[in-house]
Amino acid sequence: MSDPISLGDLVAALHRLQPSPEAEATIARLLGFRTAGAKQPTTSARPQPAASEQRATAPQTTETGVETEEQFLPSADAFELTSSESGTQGSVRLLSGVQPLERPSPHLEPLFRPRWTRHLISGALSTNGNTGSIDFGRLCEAVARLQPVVRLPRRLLPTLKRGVQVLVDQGEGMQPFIQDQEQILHWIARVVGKDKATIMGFAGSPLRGAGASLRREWREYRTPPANTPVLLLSDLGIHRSSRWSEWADEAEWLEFVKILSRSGNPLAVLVPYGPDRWPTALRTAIKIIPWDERTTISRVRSAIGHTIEAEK
Amino acid sequence: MNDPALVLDEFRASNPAAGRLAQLVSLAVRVEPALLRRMRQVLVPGADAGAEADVWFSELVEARSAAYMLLQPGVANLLRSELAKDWPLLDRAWGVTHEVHATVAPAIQLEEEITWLALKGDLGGVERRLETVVAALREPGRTGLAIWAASALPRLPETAQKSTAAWMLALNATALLDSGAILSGDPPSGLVEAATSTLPTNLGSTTVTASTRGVSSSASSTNVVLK
Repeated sequence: MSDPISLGDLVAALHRLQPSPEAEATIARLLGFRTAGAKQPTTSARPQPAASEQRATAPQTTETGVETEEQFLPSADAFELTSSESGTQGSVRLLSGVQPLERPSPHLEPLFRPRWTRHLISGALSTNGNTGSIDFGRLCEAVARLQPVVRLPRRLLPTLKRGVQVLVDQGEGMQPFIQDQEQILHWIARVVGKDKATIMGFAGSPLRGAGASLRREWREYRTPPANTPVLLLSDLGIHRSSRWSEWADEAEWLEFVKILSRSGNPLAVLVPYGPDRWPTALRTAIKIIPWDERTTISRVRSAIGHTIEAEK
Repeated sequence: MNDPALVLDEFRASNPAAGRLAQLVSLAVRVEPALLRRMRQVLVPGADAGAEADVWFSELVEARSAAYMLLQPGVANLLRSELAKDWPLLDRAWGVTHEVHATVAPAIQLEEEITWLALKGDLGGVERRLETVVAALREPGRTGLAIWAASALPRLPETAQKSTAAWMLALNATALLDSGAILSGDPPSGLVEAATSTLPTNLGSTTVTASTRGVSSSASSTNVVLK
């Protein structure tokens, strides 16, 4: 599978080529981006779906099955934002200068050390991409074997460009950790990018339904595109009560792991319990990261093992 | 309801770290995830976040919502009395509670401070804090404070409940709310004199009755009767 083109690719190209303004527009267009002068998105009469919902939407195709331009606009939102100042006056002006109502609850100390959080998250969500320098060893070997070199082999580098699907456990067992989940989502938006993170809620396990909106609108869970990492914020049913219905047993989680494995999505789970509480059957099947102040980068690396080799 | 001591023993046996955490947060009127978190990080550093959830979902809890939970009153009293035996720890627990609750309602902060002072045996401090509420009740439009006093006074440690200021506050709140007895037991000596001098001036005709069964009032006459 080829890499999706990100805004970073465009920035890298413009930086390296230092083109004229006209050439800049051409390069952007070739990479699939609309520039400020192109079709104006401005304000839509109906509310725009959240970024997460946009990503969840299947690519649009024409009647003939040809992919439309929209499918090649992975980061077009960012461009649209810069070009629509004059068209978003209504709701934005209404709240301009208004301070949001203060959060009444006391400040919650995070479970990850703030200094490390960025690295912990990027470590947990990175996948390997062929974005490193040219791998001359593999190149020489291919040439020596008289194999055709149709693509320059590159060294694997961890990357966040595939984004992430975040599954937020909203079952009773996670009630004391709701604000922790919010904090992690905030960090993911900062580290991975809002437009690259699909956020969905679930209760019990995602196999019972998941969605980005209200519970009653949750639908059957769908895996993200292959190689996109999936991050679970869950207790994996560790805290359960006979009075609750929203916890899944090990068998259900293993079924979920199997589905993700089949679809080629690496899975990591942040669990707010120590390893001694983790379900035995899941310890080897799932890459569990202890959601704890003592969790270090090396602990995450050890839990994840290594980033997946997404590209061959 | 089960015996609080038994409930507590059973809980501690299954999770000693969570038991210690429950004791440390028992000064608080209400316990948010933020208080559990900070208390664990500062005073039970060996435990992980699972201890917070263990307290949150335990039988020690009377009620919980997504925002906070309330310990069972009997359990809270037991935990507080144990905490009072270790003043340095009591002070550290109070320090964390005070810090985390710096932004909560002043009445809640006051109740927690009075609880801490009472557990330390600083009855002068208790009297002074409660007197500020009594004085505030003399101002018009403080019915909300009276409602708070009616619910808070029975939650305070026994030593605080026996103070003259607590009874004066009970009298004033009872008179304002025209409600039944707030405190039970024997009123302190000198209560009537103190009460008559501190009752709100805007009550009109009110009977305040202090007896061994508590303090109550009715809006019918100006007499203060000690039975």
